[in-house]
Amino acid sequence: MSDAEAVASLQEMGYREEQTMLQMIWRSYRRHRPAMIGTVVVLIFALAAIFAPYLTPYDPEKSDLDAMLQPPSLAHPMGTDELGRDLLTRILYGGRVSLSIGVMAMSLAVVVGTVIGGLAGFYGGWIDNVLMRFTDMMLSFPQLFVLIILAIALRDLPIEALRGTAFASVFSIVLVIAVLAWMQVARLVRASFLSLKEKEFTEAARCIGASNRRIMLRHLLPNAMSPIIVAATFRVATSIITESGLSYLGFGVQPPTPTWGNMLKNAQEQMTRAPWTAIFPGLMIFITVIAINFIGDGLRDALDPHKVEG
Amino acid sequence: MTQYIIRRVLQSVPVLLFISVVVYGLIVISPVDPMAIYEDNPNITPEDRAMLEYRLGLQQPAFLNFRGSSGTLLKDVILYNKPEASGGIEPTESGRLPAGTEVALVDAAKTGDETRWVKVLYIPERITGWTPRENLSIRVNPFDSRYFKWLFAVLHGDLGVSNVEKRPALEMILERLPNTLLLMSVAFIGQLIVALPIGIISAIKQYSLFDHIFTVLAYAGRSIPIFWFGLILIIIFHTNLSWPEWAGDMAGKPLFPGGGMYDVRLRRELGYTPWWDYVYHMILPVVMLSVFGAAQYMRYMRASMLEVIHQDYIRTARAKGLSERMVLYRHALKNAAIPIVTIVALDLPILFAGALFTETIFSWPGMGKLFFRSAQRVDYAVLMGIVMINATLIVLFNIVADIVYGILDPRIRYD
Repeated sequence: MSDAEAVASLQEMGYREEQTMLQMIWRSYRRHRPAMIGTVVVLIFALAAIFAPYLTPYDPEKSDLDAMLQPPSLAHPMGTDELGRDLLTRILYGGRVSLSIGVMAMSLAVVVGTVIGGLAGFYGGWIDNVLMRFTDMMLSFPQLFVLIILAIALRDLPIEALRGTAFASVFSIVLVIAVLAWMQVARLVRASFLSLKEKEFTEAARCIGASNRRIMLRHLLPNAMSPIIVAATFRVATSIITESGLSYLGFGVQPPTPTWGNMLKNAQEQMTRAPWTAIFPGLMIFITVIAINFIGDGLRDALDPHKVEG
Repeated sequence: MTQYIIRRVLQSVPVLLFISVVVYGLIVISPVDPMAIYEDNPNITPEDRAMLEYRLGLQQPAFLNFRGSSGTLLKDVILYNKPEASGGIEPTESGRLPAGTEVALVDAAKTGDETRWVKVLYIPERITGWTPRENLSIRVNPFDSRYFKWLFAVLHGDLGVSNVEKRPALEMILERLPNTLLLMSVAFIGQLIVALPIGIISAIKQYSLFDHIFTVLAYAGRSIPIFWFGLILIIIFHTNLSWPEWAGDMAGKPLFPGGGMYDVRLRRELGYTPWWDYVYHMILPVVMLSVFGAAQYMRYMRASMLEVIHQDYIRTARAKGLSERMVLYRHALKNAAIPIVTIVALDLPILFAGALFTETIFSWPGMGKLFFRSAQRVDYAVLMGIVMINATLIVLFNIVADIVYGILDPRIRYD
């Protein structure tokens, strides 16, 4: 019997090759069809945003007064806006801003949430008390109202290097979103640290003299990763919605830098004459958010250790 | 139980104080200058502006007042000796000289030896005889600051005066609150009436076509940006669809109004607005406002119902021969509804936030729109008022949710 035959017969008997953790997760994730669709969509959007200058001949901020409010055509697949700017071009460039704000705000929120939740869960006692009280208070803010006030307060970040650049308002929005977004992550991390620190492997690590820092970073954090990753994924989607909402109201990223949200703000005045200016940017937000939520669902199923995979 | 309620209410006091301090601080540090709107107005002299700034209290410290105790003074607040011959003008206790005086801003303060000093913020050049005295030591109450003045006023039911409209903020908010509550309560009830039955049927007929369709719709409803959904509603039902031929007077008009709360012309003709006109104007905003909640509750109800259906007591109910109807609606539904009550109460902030977008898009004269306008103009009193009203409602509904949960589910005990 050749090796290949042997493997085949073993597989028939139900034997599987040893899989690494990542392989197992990927195998399960791949089977989640919506998640795969979501992944492909997000990848396409991200690549299109990154390579925007090569994909479109137009400038996202330069107006063309000969081509104002044109309906979708071959030259302008999504039409043009009130200043004659190609909508598709602005959506591609706007995607850069909207997607990166989503990812940056999520990263900041996850880091802050992990640190606060981790410290609270690991040390317990008064540290836990203080940090969690603070978290609870942050949770009782009327979110949208405080977001708007925060966005006004932080409109001009006192960072000299950024003053006057498009980055200034992007970074202040990232900060604004993250300030009110870390609490759920903190609660999640605290809960898993609380249970993980009682496990035998933590005790073992302590016995061989590992420092608190090492236990937290090397032993607890990797084991608490699954819920963090899932929460982080959904957080990207909510951050994109929050950014677009703030920008739509005029408190977010300031024009002429396009984001999907502030494109909608401009569109509102033209809506009756040029509905395409309102339809496409919102559609992009909608599709992106659905796609990311699909990915989150897929990851949740794939990362769940209790789910038995056949 | 009473003890539990009292404890929860007391616990919410520091939370509300924390929120008020943070939000007040944010408004204070915001780079938008409330005086900016007067900058270009030729009718407002520098004196008027200084007086206004003084009246608005913008010169005062935001949180704690240490200015007087140290004896150093900010450069825009200089202490002046009152001239001997000031023509009988005596600073009044409230700090203002009688009308017609040319000293624009005067504030009185007493030092230990009962000498009267006058704090002058702005003096027109032609007035002479006022000599600056510096390094004075005035004892100042550290709580004599803008925040604490605001706080004490709020405790007396006074939210302050709008610095834009010069009207009491409370009056402005109360004028619009009923409109918001009307919109919200209709949306709230509407989304429950639509979502709960669908959730229940989805659970009972799990994996049926019905279930699949509403699973997809719920997913879409939770992912759709609410403000974009509103715009789409307007594009479809206001811009593109109009009344058909047979509609008589209405033929050719947009199917639904694109904004506002009532028809202005109709009100002028009749002298009042009939209830159906409000309803007519409310349909699109309510649809927009309830889509997220409806999607959410559909899923919660389905999940909760599915969990209950597989419990032992349901099998028992079936085993003792109860009809399927009885089992589902008497035994399963009652238990499945418990977690929904909590979620519904906790979702109140989402509804408020949605109302902000809805009112802005449909120009519904409610609190959300007022907040939006006040945020653009940085209207301290109104912003603070709306945030605090919302925060109080959220905290309150959290407590209510916990209490109702305890009443519905006897397994929960409060000690």
